Amino acid sequence: MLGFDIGLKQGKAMNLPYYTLLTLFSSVSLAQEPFDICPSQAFLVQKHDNSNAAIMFGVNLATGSNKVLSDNMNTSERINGVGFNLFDRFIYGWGYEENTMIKIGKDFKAQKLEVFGLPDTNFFVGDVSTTENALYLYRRGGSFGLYRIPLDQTTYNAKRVADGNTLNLSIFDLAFHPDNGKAYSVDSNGMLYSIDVSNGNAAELGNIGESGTFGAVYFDVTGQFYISRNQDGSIFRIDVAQMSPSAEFFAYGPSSSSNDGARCATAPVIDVDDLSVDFGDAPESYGSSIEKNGARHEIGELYLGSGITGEPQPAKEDDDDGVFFVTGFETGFETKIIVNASRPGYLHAWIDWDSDGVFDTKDKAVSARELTAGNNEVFVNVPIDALPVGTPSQQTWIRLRLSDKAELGPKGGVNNGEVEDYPITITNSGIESSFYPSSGYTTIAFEDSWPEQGDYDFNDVVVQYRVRKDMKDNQVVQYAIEGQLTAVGASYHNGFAIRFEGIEHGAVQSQRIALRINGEIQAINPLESAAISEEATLIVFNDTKSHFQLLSGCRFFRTEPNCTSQPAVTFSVSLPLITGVADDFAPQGALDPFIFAVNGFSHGAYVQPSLARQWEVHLKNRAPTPAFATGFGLADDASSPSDGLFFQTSQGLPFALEVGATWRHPQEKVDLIKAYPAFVEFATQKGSPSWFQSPVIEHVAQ
Amino acid sequence: MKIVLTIFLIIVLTGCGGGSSPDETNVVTTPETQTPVVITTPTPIPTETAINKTSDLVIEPQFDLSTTITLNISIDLKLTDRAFVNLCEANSDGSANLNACIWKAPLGQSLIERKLTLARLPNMLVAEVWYYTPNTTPSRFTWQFEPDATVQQFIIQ
Repeated sequence: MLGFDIGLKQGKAMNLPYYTLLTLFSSVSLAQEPFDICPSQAFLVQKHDNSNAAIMFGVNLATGSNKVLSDNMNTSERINGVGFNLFDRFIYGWGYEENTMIKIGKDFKAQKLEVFGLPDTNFFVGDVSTTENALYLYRRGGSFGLYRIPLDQTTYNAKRVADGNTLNLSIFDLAFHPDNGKAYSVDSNGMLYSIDVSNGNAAELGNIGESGTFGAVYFDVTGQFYISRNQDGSIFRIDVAQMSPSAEFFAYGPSSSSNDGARCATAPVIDVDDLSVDFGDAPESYGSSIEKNGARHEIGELYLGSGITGEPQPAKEDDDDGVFFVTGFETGFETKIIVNASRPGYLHAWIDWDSDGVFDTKDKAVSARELTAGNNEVFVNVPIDALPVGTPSQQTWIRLRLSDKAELGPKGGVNNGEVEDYPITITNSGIESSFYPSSGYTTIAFEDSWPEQGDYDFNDVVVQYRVRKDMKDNQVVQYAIEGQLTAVGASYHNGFAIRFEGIEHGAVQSQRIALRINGEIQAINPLESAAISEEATLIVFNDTKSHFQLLSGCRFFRTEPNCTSQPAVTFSVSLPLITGVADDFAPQGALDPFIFAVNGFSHGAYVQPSLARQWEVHLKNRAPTPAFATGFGLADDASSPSDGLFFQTSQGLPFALEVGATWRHPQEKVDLIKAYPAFVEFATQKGSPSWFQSPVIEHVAQ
Repeated sequence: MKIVLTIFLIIVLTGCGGGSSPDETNVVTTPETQTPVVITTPTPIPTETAINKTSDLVIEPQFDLSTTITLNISIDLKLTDRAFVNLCEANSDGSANLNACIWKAPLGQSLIERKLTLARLPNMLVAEVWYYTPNTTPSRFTWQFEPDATVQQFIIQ
């Protein structure tokens, strides 16, 4: 039965039998309860398929998914012009059954509220203001117009703000901006309006590029405007603050008719604890987060691989597991991809062929490929011009989306399926690649007090990286290195570099080298001057200490307990060669990493600050570069160049250590063998090379 | 042999990494720096004292502490069509872990021989050869480290 307000008795006549009034009156004692929270989901009210009775849906604007919240709203007729009231957390709108205002609480039962001062007609456009406790209703036509109904009174008296000639718009819903007090709407031609509800003046903000019947419109807390098109359910997003606002496709929602939308305008589109949505994890330029209208799917039974988990925002460590790149991406050839689907669905894929950071139309690589449950072979043709001339290989991204949609773009929300993003490497035809190590990183850990013996916590500088070596016909044509500065437990300023022993400076395509630190391309070419080093040497970090800010209470970068929460400093760099170098003569493995003192800074008694670059520390028995001029035999150093012995003490102790894994370095001032007791046998007796797999947990970086 | 050491006024080195000397700003000093050359052949010092810290260790001068392994691989499958090989660590089901590969290469008719550097001792490697023909399954070949072998070899034919 309908709820009934006391005010009704004094209001406009309602054709209800007296017994109904009594019944309704008694139901009022079951006081409506407001919604518990300001919900992120939108409310969409429309009529039943087989009757005019209203039915309420909850719509997730992020994915377009919807569910019935109530199919019995205690009315036999439609409801329209609804809005969520921030002041009391009820929904207000217009009920067609008795041609009056209705109020809806969390049980979704409509309660009628008598209103004075309204014309005898129905309203299908309306919303509750976000800055004043009032419902606004609008109907086009000279006899009607825009009406304001205060909601903070015991009786409801409507006042016409503007007549239908002043405000003459062909609109189907309106919504209030969360901050500026104005209402917004889009007419059937796509014209966006802002409406000053104090006088009914409407301003044209421009055509948003989409037309149709936008019967449900909403705002979110950031001022983004969402409009749902009745005909196909498409949800578009509009940034009304732009000079020329345009509609961006946002999600596939439900198609509908005779509908209206309401939403708490101060709620985000996705709650911070919402685990129902899967995001991609490509860099943000491709569109990954909700702010960038990233690809996203409501999780369900259709997914890639063995499972799917949701997250409120793109996760760095995603659960991507359904796609296997079993052959290379060679220009001019097909590549085979194995895609595992939980159920039949459509696969779409985009590959950023030109590595410009976006998926555009020409990047569509797979279109509506029908997959069956289980493994599917998918073939993709790699364009012959996918790489710039002279580039052996290049990393880029692929996005794969599985859903029930035969038409799908690289961004936007879908109410089912999954998105998985992967970095891939496109190579010229015939390129083979080796990887060192096979997974994770190799770790290079330095003591920086050479030629004096250090404290052997091996964390003064810790760099971890992986080397990909590209070859064609057994000739090395490029090295690509990606990794991170993991820790700096030093007071001295140290740079970090990698020498490519045996590769001449002039053999490098220096203009193609790009060093990225934390994703940012560095302005300075990292290839060290030939005047300093005739062999190719990449200066990865000119000063390791210039790339981080110490956490409060920390003396060093990620070496002390409670000081490891900040992220490592990532880097990537490649070294393309002009002509190939025979693999037998090319540097292998971790290459030749070393640290050097930074000019202008003190580095102890054996380093002149103005010539600090002359000081280097390499792995044990690795010769220094020609730039090295500090000399051997100082202090504790017992190098013997003529015997091929470098950077060691008289006891054979090193000043740098390579660990062929993503190693957890000892904590500050913790001796290596206290953190890794198995190192003793390895070092002194050439024991198990897996010594680094048995740390004493409390002594290593967490 | 000539050693001339630069002497700075007061440098107290404590802690690690050159200690905790305050050097956040450029230091202006007037050091005299020479390039001393000392050539000696370090000799391990035998010790019978307990090993409590790294500085107690005695390590062979020639032992560089590397854990790398060189693997010689030879592939001669006498293919008639193009194929592609992924040499990777093996999953528990024997398939290749494509996220842990050492080498990826297109294959043709020719014999391929390579020397690959492994950063650490792997459990088991699998060479998974994929064919471009639709609906074909990959060929798999496995390799494990042989501790008694002087040369680690993986021959696929």
